[in-house]
Amino acid sequence: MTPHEPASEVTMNRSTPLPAGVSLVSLTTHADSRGDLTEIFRNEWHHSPLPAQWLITRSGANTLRGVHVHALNWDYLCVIEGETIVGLHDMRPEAADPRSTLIQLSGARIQMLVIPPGVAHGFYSPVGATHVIGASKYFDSADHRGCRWDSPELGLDWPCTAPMLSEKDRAVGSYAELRAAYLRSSAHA
Amino acid sequence: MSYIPSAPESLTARLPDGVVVRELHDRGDHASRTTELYRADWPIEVPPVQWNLVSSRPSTLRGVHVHVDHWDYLSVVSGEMLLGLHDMRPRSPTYKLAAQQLFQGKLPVSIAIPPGVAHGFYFGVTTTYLYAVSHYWNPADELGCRWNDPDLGLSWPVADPLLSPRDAGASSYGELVRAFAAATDRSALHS
Repeated sequence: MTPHEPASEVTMNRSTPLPAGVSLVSLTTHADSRGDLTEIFRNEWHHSPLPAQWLITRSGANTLRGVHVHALNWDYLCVIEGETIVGLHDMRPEAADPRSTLIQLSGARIQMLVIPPGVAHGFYSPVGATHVIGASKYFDSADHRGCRWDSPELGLDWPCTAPMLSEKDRAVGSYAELRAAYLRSSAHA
Repeated sequence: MSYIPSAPESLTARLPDGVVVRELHDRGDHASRTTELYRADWPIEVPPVQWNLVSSRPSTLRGVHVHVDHWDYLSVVSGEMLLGLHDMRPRSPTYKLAAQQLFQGKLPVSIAIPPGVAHGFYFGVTTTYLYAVSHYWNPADELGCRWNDPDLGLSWPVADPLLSPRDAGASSYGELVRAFAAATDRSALHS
């Protein structure tokens, strides 16, 4: 990884509280003449359900993944190269306002973001990024529902207008449909 | 379970018994690709408790190290790693077998290395890799020897690599054999 300055300036209110259960863990990078080492995950650091699965995702410039929400799955996101703006929107009925926030993550300063079920999330990578993602549940399309990334109800002020999307993320329904489906499945969870 | 990864066709070296190389599958499109690195329901020998991210500059060599108790499970994310292995387990069917194999981030695989198989990593280019360990880091389970000790049977494409002070000052292979045997006895007593 080459340490670099963030390529995009995103206006984010850093005093916005994170949704309940979301945590952003700062990690220590130990550098020496050979390079560096970062302990990104220790089971003992986390009290949430531990990952059953780890994924590596590589995204090109101007790519947005999401917005998705899970009824059961916890996600653990670590940006290891490039940078990513994470949009979070709390869909849980008991959520307090403000429900939405943007967080900027960079491979130049490694952190681990923990996202609980019920917090919808999208990942926008302006210059491309590599993510390491832990998931507490094996991938199950029934628990990977999504809505349009730019649905106004999400309250996410994305710094992009025409990001690259997957076919699935292009074909998703409205916020209202997603919220109804989420509330139904979380009631059974 | 969707599939269980198996050894890639590119794997040519005969490896010490218990070392497992798995080809990792990926899916997605040109905008975004996802590689499945690990699943708890794969028959992976010892479940990891910790994951580390390591970046290395060109001409770095890490090792040669051996562990008495813990497994390593690693995968190159970008760049390339020349892996050197040497079996130090007297009761292994491949005792003293040395092997080397190049792994590249563009052909994702995972490599599981059991206790008792000494390993060194050489990076000819800037390389990032992830590795999981089956036990939290314990300095007492980090034995090593000089990376270029001829008794390892490994030939590295470098004469003067970047080493940590600890690796640069490591002892001979013969001393490592004695230290490993003593540590194995202690571990057996305590288990």
